[in-house]
Amino acid sequence: MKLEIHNISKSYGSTQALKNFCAELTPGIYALLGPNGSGKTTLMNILTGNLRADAGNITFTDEDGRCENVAAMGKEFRGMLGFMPQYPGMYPSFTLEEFLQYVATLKDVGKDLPKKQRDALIKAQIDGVLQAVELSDVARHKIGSLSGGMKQRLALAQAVLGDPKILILDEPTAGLDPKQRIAVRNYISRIAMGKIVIIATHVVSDVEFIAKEIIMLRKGEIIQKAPGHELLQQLEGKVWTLCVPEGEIAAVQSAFAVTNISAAEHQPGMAILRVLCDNRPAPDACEQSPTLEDYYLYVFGQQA
Amino acid sequence: MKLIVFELKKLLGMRFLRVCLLVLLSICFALSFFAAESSQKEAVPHRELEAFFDLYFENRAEMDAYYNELVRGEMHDPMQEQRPQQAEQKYAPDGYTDLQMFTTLYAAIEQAQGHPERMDGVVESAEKNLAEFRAMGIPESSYNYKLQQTVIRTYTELKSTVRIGIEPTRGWEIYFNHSAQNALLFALILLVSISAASCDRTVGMLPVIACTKRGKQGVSGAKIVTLMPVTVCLVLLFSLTSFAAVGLACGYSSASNAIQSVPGFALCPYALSIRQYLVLSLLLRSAAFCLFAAMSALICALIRNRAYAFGAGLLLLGLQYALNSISYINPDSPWKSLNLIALTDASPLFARLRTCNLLGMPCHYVPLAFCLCVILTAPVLMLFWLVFVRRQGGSAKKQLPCKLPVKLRELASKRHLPRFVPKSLFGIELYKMLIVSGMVFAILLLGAGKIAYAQYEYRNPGTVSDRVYYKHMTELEGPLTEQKLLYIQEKRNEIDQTLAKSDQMQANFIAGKITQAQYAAYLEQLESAKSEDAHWAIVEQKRDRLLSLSEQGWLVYDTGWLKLHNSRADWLLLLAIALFASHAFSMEYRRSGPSDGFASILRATPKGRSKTYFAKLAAVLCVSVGLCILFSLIDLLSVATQYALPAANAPLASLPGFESIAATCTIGGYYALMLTCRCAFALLTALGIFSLSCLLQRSLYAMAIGIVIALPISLTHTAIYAAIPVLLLSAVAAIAAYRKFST
Repeated sequence: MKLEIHNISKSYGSTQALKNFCAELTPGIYALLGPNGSGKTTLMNILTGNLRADAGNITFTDEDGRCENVAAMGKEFRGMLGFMPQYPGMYPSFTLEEFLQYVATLKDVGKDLPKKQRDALIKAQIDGVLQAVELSDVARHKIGSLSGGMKQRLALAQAVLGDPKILILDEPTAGLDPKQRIAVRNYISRIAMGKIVIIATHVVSDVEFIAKEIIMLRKGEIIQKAPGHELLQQLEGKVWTLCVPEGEIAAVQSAFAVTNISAAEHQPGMAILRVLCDNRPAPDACEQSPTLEDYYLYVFGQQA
Repeated sequence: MKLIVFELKKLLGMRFLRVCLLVLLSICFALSFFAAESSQKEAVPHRELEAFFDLYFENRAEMDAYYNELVRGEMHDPMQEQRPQQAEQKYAPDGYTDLQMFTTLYAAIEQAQGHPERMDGVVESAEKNLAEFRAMGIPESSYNYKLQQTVIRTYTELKSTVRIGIEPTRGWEIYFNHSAQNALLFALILLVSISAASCDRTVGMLPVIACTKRGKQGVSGAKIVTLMPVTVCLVLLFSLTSFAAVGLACGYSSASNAIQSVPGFALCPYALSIRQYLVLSLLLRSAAFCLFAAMSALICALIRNRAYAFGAGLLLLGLQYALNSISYINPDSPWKSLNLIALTDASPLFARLRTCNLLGMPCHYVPLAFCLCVILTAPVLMLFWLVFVRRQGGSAKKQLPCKLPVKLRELASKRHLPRFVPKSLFGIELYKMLIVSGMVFAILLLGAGKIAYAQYEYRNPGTVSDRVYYKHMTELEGPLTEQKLLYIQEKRNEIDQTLAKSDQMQANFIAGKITQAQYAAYLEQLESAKSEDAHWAIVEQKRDRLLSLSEQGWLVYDTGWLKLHNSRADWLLLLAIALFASHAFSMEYRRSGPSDGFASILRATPKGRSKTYFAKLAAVLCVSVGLCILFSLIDLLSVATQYALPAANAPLASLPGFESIAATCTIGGYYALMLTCRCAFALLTALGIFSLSCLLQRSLYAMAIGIVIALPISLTHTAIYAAIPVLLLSAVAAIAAYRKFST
């Protein structure tokens, strides 16, 4: 199974949101990283058919090797999609069960089965996803009464309902507490077997250990596309920690790219700075193993 | 099937729709009930009337003789003010007279037994037209010729097939007046259609739906299949509510009687019973409302912004009202008979034979209307389906075609208007509520609606009697002087003399004492005197009324002033104030949680509580008063242009019905007082709804509850009595709102 994106471009007026985006996606998790306005959501909307690209096309090759343009596939392609948008919308008066029933109907889950079996399948799937996102207890509650985090998890649940082959998740962990984030990350990792999963996120740690490939976007263009470990290799020997007096923090920040500042333990008035620098910035600087967050900030030139 | 169920769930799950439905149903019930009740105020109670009818047919001769006696006793010299002594009533219950009973009885008999004559009258008129056409050489194959033949055929058949039972018709005439009910239905169906078409986009589910297998195709199909039956159910619901209200207020006469027994339907060209007409009209109205629902859904799918879609829907309605109100050269014009207002009213199509020219043949409007509704609804729904499915996501702003040069696209996308944001709190709040929220467009639309409605409400039918009345009153305008009294008497003498000479002149002409030319000249004078007789009697009534007053009054052309001073409740003003005031606080709050929306940031600033509250309150009150003055001016200008508003400095006692108010007040002064009261009520209403907006944080609830509370003070005749409780409620709500927001 393969999803190929060929030279997709999209502009809004004079703003180029995507420029000649190309990618070949096979089963696994792909992370789309980039600052706001880099084109992640635009790409997701084009993949799901919510936006029409100005140029380029997308083809899908199935397990039998049959390759077809997704625009021509239409319903058939949409039957393989599971989409969680950036700002998920749901009907406040529906209960969770009703909402997932509705989504199952939209996705034609169990279409070829007799009615009883279809209903049983749908019920089993709904129970399964609700349990996976830890919302079983509130299945009969109205969506309007849920907290932000619960709604986010429900949005994920509706995306994975029907066991889609292609999962497109835009900021799946936004608004979740650390425990929930880890749970969602693990869940995605578990269900990603045999699926193409595309995750757009700002939270680098969500994808650092699960993504097969990281695609970094800036102003609509791909600036990096490689597995995480390959990207991190580029930063080997470039990440350091420094212990400086608090009064010198500003000076260090102006001289180097600082990715983290924390107070030094047992040393009042001192701070530990994590900096990016090609050479040792100070004699007492300690080399550190780079993380994807370091790489992100290294690429996009931001300071923590 | 499941998708349809879910679409229904989406609609029923919208609380504001449920609230609107309840509120509008209540208004429908109240309007129908009060209309029925007020029409029955002076009518004899139906039980007594029915017993009287039965008694009459048992002793017809005796009753007729008694009636003749009554009539002779009631005759009096119109120049004298003395009424005859009230005789003891033999059959009428307390508060009513036997003469009233007989008037109703004979009217019913005339309605029933006069049917063949009426049919003959129509047939005769058609035959005269045919004779004229033959004389003019109009061919028999022409449409007009065939139309007259159709009229003759139809009404000849009706003469023999329709039998009207003699009974006091009750309730049906009021029930079949659907204008108030239809206005409410139009508003609700517009809301329902827009909600159905836009709910997925509004909640943010559309991107998810779009990428599912059934996708937008399945969902839009389900919406269509849901919207039509929902519309029909709403029509049924409102019709039943109105039916129940009228039934409770005054009951109904037999539904098996011919529809021709109902006033206004005497010339109905179909042999239908009232029951059959009820079903047919309901079907026609449902079809028309379904067409409207389809058009509203299409508008929403095209425009995407709900507020603009609502405005566009109102414009569509305004256009229909305009088509319905315009006077046409051809009274059977298709624009007049086939606009949505006429179709949803149904009665105009059944009142008399109406046809249009379809390929040279007269085609009845009723079946044509049915076919048209069905034929138009289908493609509109198809178009809705196409637009809903094909429309891409993204910003609701128009995306310019890529073929335009880049520079042009850049130019078009730039905002050229400078943005001016006021610096004072009051100014900023006014700016937020009017401009940022887009409320200014809604108010402009309502203003346009008000102008259209005022033109319709105050239209001058231009009757001859009113024109003559205007002429006389303009000549005599001013205080009642001796000179004017003398003039009036002289004119009366002149008329009486001319009328009295009639027999003598005829005899003189027959005897040859006067020439034909002289007799013809006299006959002309006689015709003029006969017409002047009735008109001058009105002048004399005015004179007599003024003479009986203790305060000084003037002779003045009062038609326009009476229209203005007795004008009905201004629903549009109430709606405009409710719409504006309900947004005062709701725009600061979002539904998701207590700390969502701008309110939490606002209340964390030094000027964000008490000062902001008063700034909002001042903005709401100023705009409400401004709206009140504007809407009142629209009324004033409409009446002034359609009629005339002379002698504003005349004493108020010059107007009938205003004698009890202080003599020092002038007509113009009273209008100013009325305007002041209206402004006070507007302030009261605005205060109440403003406070509800703060307490409830949701504009729709604040609006709905506010309108219901403010209804009593909107109804002119209850305004004064209801003002105090509403004032108290508003004051309590305002204090509670202040405490909630500012502390």
